[in-house]
Amino acid sequence: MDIGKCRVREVWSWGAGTHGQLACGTLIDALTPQRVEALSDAALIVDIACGGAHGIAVFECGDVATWGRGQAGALGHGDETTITVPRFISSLQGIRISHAAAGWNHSAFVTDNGALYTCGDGTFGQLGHGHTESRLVPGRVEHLSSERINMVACGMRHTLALAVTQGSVCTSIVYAFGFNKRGQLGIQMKTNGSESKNKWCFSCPQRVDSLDMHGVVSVSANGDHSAALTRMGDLFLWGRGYNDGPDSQQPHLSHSGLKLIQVSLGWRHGLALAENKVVFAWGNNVCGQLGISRVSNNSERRAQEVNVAHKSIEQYTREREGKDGAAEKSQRQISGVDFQKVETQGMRVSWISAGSEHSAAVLEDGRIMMWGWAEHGQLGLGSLEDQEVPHMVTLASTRLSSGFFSATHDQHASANYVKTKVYCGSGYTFVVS
Amino acid sequence: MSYDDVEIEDMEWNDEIQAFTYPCPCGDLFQITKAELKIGEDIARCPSCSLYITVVYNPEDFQEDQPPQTQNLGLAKGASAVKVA
Ligand SMILES: [Zn+2]
Repeated sequence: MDIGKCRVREVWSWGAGTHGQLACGTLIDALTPQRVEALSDAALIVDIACGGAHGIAVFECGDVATWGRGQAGALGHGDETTITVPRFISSLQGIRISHAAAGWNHSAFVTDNGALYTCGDGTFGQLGHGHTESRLVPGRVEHLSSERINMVACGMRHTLALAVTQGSVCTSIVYAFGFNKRGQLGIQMKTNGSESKNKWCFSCPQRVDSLDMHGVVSVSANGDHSAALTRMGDLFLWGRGYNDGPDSQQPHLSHSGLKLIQVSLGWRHGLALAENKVVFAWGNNVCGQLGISRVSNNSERRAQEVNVAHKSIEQYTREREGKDGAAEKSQRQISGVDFQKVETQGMRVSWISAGSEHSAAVLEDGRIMMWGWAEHGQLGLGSLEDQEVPHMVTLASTRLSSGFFSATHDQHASANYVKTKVYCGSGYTFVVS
Repeated sequence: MSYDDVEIEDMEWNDEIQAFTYPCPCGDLFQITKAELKIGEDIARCPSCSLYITVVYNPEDFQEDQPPQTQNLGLAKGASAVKVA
């Protein structure tokens, strides 16, 4: 395939690699970024998803390749074999995939005409096929065949799907399926009515109807957590509580005081990118995954918190004046969620990703910052030491020009240029630049 | 420090390694065998990293030889579950 000079891209990976999840043909951890030859200089990649120990790449042509741990059929190749280099899913050839998500051991694929396919571990109903069997090849989620799905997110044992109807008024519906013991499905019922071990499992997609009128534009999931972002930039959180707070069975509006444009969840923390290109974090900080220094800048951070709280009240007032029920909505603020500003050294951020216990941000100039858990080298800093503030990662690019200059050049050359993005799996990290 | 407290009913029996397992954030699995549960062990370790979890279960359920189905453990309600210190 002729990819053209201006469309050359590079893919990098590092961190936990013992299940082949780094796509480099090896079964070992990598403490520094290594170039993923099988995905670099190849067809345009439009999306990458990183799960527990497997990865998915979606190409512009609609093809999908997977690699890593094949347990329960997560890779979709018809068996449970673990593979260390990406392989195209043959059963999806001819079906144009535009987006994918990866859970602990399951995978989900969205086609360009709104169909949803899933494969892998179905033990908790997380495949949405109406049973708890696993699938070795992707199968269409028939229960959603009348919906146009445009986004999917996979947690450890659950899945969220976003259906969007384009009309004079843009409406969206969030569907959830899989394990619900921590309230991660966001639905009225906690159990399915049975008395068995499976009582927490919903294997048919359930409508998260409390989100119906909020104009959800994206969903995210990881661990036992769920989130949805609205057109207005409001964030809803549900599922397992943060910092040992109570679980939330219903989506709760969480005020950051700012318009949010991207959200990414870890197993115990979350990251949100605000419209002003500042990153906020909440949840557990045992590994430094919040990226806030615990010793310095205390006064500055407090000032920031006061500022956020102040804006929250403004927003709260605006909503209360704006429509009925807003006051009640505000009272449902999720406990244990305390938005804190990530210390990106004052630099503006264009993209974020949370791994299970580590975090990543792409700066506007294309550079990458990492912080949090590092036991498997997932920060790419050549060290196994956790980092409580963001650190810059060095990619030993083979390109003559790199970073901002290259990005600017490419944007002029091709409308399809994908800006540098980072994707965190459980204990590993991928970058497409 | 324990990474998490996990009820035995939320762990999965893995025939291959003959242990109850639960996902570890590193990508591998926390593991604990029936023999360990029988002697009152409540720490499930991950072979790939330093993390471990505390398994919440009723030790009486493992005093006799029982089939490894977690639904037979009678831990549907938290009341019967005790954390072995
Ligand atoms: Zn581990």
